[in-house]
Amino acid sequence: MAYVMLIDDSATVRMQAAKALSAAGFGIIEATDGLDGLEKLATSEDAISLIVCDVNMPRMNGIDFVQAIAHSGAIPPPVIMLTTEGHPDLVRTAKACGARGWMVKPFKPELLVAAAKKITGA
Amino acid sequence: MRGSIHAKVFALIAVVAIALIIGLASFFTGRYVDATHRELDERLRIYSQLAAHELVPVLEFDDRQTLREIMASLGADEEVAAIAVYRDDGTLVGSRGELGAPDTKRIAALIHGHSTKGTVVIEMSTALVDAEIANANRGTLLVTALALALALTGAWLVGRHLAVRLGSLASMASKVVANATMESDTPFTDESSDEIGRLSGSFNTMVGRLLAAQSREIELLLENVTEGFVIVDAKGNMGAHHSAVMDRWFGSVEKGMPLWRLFAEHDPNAAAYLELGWEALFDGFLPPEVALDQFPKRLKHGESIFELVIQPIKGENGDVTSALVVLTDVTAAIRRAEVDATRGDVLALCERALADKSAVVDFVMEGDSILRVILEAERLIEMKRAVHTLKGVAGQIGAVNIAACCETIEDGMVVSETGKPRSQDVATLTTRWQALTAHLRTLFDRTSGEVYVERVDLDQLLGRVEAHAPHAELARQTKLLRLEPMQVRLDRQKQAADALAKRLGKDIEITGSAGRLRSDPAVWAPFWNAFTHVVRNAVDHGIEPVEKRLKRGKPARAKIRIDIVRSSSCVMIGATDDGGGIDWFKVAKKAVLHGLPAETPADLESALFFDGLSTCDDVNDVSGRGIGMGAIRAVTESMGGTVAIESRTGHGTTVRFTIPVTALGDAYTDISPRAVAA
Repeated sequence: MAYVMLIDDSATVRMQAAKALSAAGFGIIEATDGLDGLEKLATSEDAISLIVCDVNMPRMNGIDFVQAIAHSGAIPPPVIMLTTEGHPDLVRTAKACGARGWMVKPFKPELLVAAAKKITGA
Repeated sequence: MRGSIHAKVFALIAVVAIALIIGLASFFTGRYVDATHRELDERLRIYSQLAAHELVPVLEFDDRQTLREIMASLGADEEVAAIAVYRDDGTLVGSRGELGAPDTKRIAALIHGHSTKGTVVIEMSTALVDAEIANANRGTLLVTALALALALTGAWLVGRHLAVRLGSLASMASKVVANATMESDTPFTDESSDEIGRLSGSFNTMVGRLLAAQSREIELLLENVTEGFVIVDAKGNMGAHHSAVMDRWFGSVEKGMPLWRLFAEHDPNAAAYLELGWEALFDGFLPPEVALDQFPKRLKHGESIFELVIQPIKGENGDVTSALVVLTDVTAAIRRAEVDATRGDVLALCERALADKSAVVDFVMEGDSILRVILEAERLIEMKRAVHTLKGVAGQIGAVNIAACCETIEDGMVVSETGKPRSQDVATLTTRWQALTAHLRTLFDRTSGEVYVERVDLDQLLGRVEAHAPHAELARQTKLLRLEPMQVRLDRQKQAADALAKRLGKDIEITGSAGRLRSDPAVWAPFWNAFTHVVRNAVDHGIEPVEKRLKRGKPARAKIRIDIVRSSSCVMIGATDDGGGIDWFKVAKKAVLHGLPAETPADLESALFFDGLSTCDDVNDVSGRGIGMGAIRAVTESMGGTVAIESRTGHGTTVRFTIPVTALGDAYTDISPRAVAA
């Protein structure tokens, strides 16, 4: 089973994504912000194949998170950044810092599942 | 080369040339050989005749000297190999050379004398002749070979020449068949006036006409189509051909220009997302359907709005190499939809007004004040509640498009990082509201000066006046008439609940009475507006689906009762349903999720009123956002009242509002319980 990490400070968003992805057979690891994500990434027993990460979060935002994992030494799993409409500059910054893909919120859960399937090869 | 014109022509010419050359060579060589041999024969004959004549005296007189001279003279010809003279009886008179040598020609001639006869035999060597013939043969061979070589080369060249010209024509033709284009910078020209030249001339003309016809048709298509079509490559640059309408929309659209430059000036946000989205579409990380969903669906340019559709195009090896972009000007369509939406609402409200005009008037007035709160609220939570309430009352009265507008604002607030709505959504609501009410204001006399009085109440007052009742009583009765019967509001709530129940396919009996209580509409309007949330919650969430009810042993027909009673100090509004009751476990779970205390029943009851807490997993357009309870409590508390919830799992829920009786209106102050009519 492939594992996906969901990093978002909104419980509703995490729940929506988790529901759709687990129904499609993915394992889910949730984190509430960048720092939490880093910790869970480091301590996770299961190999994480994809990270879906929000931009605006307390303590450590998405951009800083992506930068942090890029410098962590090992090759990090690919990151899809979730952004809100109206901030194309954030998307650019996210890509520049290493995010491989992006999706605008609100996203359609079935599209997230399709992306996860393609990226993890599941 | 095999099977081609080249081979065939070469073979043809080669065969002919070979036959001709070899034939000629044989013929002329044969003739030369004959002639040469004949010359030798002739010489031999003449020699023999001459010798025969000269040798007569030799035989007659045995003139050895003459014999020697003749033989010497003959012998002077190098080719004479041998000479011999015989008498008739066979005796050898004289000889010279070796008789019977190989490679010689022999001739014998009779010598006729007066009295003697004899034979002279001359043998001439054919060696020289043969050598000459051999030489000639060699020469002929050489010439023949040369001629053949020249002929074959010529054949090859001619064949190639024809093959090349025909081949060019053929490959040009197949290119046209394959691509239906002709590279205009290398036209196929064959200047010669032979058949191939004429053929290529006609070919050029034919193709030119064909392509002109085709491209004219395509031009016509692109000129007249009303959508913007253009092919955009993987880098986002537009191709050479696009529909003419795009030039009218955007000014000059040039090949190689990036697609997003069309919108950079008027809609920079959308243009940026176009660019980013294009990169995502072609970098292969996300599946194409996901990348396509991220594109802005609508883009602005000046006063116009365009809808964007992107259709990826696969190249020869199955990879996506470019995409067709279709732009549709939806400005008019959007405007029409707006007009239709407003018109729909106007129609619904007019229908409602036929049954209950005051309801519509109240809706317009209350809606105005709610909208003012939305636009001017300082705290986000006030705005949230106002939007939610407007949605409720608009839905209740049938103004579905206003309600939809509010729904859009609410969606925007959920998604937004700051919780604030998108200003364009609020602007849309304002515009729509003003359009709607502008229509209605022309239909209704929008004075707040109307009061709804029932004839029976007026008659009763008149009776008391004519009976000279005490002034205080008359004053109070008159004041009461300025207040609105609460039953009116209650009936509206019941009606709306009924309509909602039908819409959701639930069988619910809705009853309730307000007695003869009256209230000041201005004070109570916000309460009733927020009360719609209580009703909607009961209908939507409280009442279970029929199957569940039957399983629980309840009647299929559900009941909701809304009663209003008063005591000496308070008025109590209770809404009771016999549905499934509140799922306190879910409330607890959600409370924890939101970081609220969830230990005691009081905690859980508080949590129920928390804005944003809902036991529903799905938000629909009726309820589920968790805003309603907070709104009604806020209003109730602002009137000096309290809210309480009682719920029994599986049996139903009662929401009770206790509000000081003075909130009803100034007719209810300073009165004794006895004197109260209701």
